[in-house]
Amino acid sequence: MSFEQILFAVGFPALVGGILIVPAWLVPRIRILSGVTGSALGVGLGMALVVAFMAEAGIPTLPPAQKWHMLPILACGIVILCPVVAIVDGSGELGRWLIGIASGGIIGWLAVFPGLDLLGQILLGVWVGISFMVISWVSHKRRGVTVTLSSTLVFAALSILCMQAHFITLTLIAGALSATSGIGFVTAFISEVWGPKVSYASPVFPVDESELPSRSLAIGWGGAFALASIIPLVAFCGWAYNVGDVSWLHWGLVAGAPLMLGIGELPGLHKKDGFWFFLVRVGLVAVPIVLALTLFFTGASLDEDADTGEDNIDRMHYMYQG
Amino acid sequence: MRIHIGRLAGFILLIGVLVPGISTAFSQSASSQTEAEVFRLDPVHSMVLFRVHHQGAGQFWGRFNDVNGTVLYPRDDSAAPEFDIEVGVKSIDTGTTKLDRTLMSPDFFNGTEYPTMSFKSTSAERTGDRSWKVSGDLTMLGKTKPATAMIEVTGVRGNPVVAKAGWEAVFTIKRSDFGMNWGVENQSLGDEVRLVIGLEGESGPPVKD
Repeated sequence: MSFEQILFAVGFPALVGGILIVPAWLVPRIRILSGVTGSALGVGLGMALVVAFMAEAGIPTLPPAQKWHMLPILACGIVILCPVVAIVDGSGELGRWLIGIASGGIIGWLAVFPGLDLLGQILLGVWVGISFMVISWVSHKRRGVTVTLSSTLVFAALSILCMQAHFITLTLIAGALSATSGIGFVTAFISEVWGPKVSYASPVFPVDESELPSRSLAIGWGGAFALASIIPLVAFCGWAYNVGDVSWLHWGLVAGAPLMLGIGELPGLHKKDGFWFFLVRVGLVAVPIVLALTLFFTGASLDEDADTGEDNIDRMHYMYQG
Repeated sequence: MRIHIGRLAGFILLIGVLVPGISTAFSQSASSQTEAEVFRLDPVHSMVLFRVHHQGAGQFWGRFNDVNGTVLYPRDDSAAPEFDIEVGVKSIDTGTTKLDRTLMSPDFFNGTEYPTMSFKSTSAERTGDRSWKVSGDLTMLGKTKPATAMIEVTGVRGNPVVAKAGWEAVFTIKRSDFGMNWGVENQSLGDEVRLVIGLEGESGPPVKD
């Protein structure tokens, strides 16, 4: 795989996502608009997924030519629904539950990957629903930097697993999503340190206002909705099409990693803030990721015929570099 | 002497009964050679080779080892062979396990979702002695497209009851027609794929497994 191809399939989609996120989070006039800031990360991620897919596999069709081609179609739905979810952000527990149930139900119903029977679809739907409940809960309590850095790590880990599952396009898509989340993290960090001070009236700001400075922003329900939908989707798709040695345990640990954000908001930890507790919260997310990758690569090293990172480079070399 | 005459009469009678029967049997088997027989493909001696341009430089070869199906064909080549072939995608063999897995992924043959490819001939025209141009439907990645192959009958051998026959087919297809687009745009892998298919089939009563 050439550098130009990685740039085209990862860099360009991330740039598209970034163009949507950066102004929404840094330009004061845009940032105060209801629904804009809260949907920026979600729209950016959804667009990055669609563009990365198109860079590798062309324009998606309806009905999808192959089952995994539902990914960009669902991403289009996420892009459209994100602003709606962001606008109803903070509407109360009933609204949050309804969004969680609806997003889980719709994604579980539409994402029919090979080998995913009814039970599997229900599991995917429940996973999306629970992820939304946890991330949306956290999104109102925690700075955007924590969630975006966590999602950067999760997507990066998914990209590694997809590569080990020999699914090149999904590897690049997850890479593009990681890069887009990374842009979100850098933007949130800039906002945190140098960003404009904006009124708390904006629905994207934490509910518990006294805890965070005015420059902080949260990803909002829109961002939570996108993360809760896309992370399980990529993981289940990778699992369904895996022709490598990646097991359900590896996919499950990485897809479940964002749920660890909830631990950081439990009583006792919730009031703790500052740089070190920022690291602790991101570290909690990193634990299942590191565990999954360690299990995979150490397990692989015990089996001579299994993949290792080095072998994978050889494979790429055979295939693409001659 | 009476006994000998009796034996002779019995022998003549036996000849009189058997000879017409034998001659009828031979005439029937002679006429059956002009009728098409069903040749069941022998997976051990059948394979599909594919060739694709890699990085605009060398031609990369791989093969599929699991080839099954039937060929309807008259031994005297009086009519075109009719192919109904199915290829197991997971039998892909490039000599490198990791590359095999990559080619089974959704970026290429998507063996998880589409475990088989198939070709079913629909028409044919003779191009020479024991060579044909056969058209048919090629199904890959769930898409069926018309495809034309140049066929050479490589041999027929056997007895009136059982026979073996061989064919070699050469296709040239565009993989993007079937939705296999990876690497086409940036020309890291060629779009045009040559398929060279070697088939051997056996006619006669089916062998129990």
